[in-house]
Amino acid sequence: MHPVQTVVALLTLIAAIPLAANESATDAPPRNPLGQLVELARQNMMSAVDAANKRVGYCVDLGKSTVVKPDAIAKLKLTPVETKIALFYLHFKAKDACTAGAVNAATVDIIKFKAIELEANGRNDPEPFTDSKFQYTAEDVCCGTPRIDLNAELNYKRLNAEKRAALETLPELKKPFNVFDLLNHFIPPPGSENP
Amino acid sequence: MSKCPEIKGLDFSVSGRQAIEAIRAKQRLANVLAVTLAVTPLVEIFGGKGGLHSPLGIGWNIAKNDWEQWAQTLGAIPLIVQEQVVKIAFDEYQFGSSSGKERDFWFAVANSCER
Repeated sequence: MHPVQTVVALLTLIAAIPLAANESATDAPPRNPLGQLVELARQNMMSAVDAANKRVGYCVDLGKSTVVKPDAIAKLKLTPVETKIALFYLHFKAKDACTAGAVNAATVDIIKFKAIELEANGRNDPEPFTDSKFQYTAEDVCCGTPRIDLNAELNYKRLNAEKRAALETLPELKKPFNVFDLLNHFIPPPGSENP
Repeated sequence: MSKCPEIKGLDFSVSGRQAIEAIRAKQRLANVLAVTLAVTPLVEIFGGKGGLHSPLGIGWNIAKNDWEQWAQTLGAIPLIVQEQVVKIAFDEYQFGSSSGKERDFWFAVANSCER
């Protein structure tokens, strides 16, 4: 036996001996094999992603069915461009707030899975992850459209502060709402000019 | 889907092409489009006739029932990714340089022809 192998074998034996005389192996919680931990992390990840997907569906449906009266927004006398910027940003912000808990939890579980998988195997398997219905990547779940999100936020923050403050006090814009229906009151949709 | 537009002779602007590139980059959608049997204009636009990097082409004709096929195609990808496609389309509708037919197109992609 190679000397290094001998040392490793000895260390393994020593590690198996209970540290204290009054501590037996049956008293300590088991150290489960890494493979089992990877499998648990995979299950957690897939159920969290499934829950996130369902939550997104709920928030999308809520947005479609929630019609906001335009009166309060009309009072702010926003220009058409300001209206577009504000409603675009607030619409997705409300949707993100609706889904964030589930999507964030899924993102954390993906990161945990990748960490334990790396510890167990020395590498991460290529994505996507596959469940019974869909395929996912970590990027799909956590961070789909950063350029659009940040651009929308920057445009919104450049709007007049008083108008923003007024918009942000409107409770109906804090939950997902039907942005197309609301926009139609201020900016005619395509095709409506020549019915 | 009753308000889906029929669009004839659609060409895309530079901005619209960038939005299409962003949607094509959604790998989950690309995988679904690659195995979609019904080859409609929308599948070709977002999947690429000859693969994701193939030229977009000009003069697209989109029939009303193409949108229904598109909705079914989208149903095969996770809602999380569907929402990203919607957001890209809505962004292009709202802030892209497109007008006329192209605006009709992005409006329909963004709101599934519902309004």
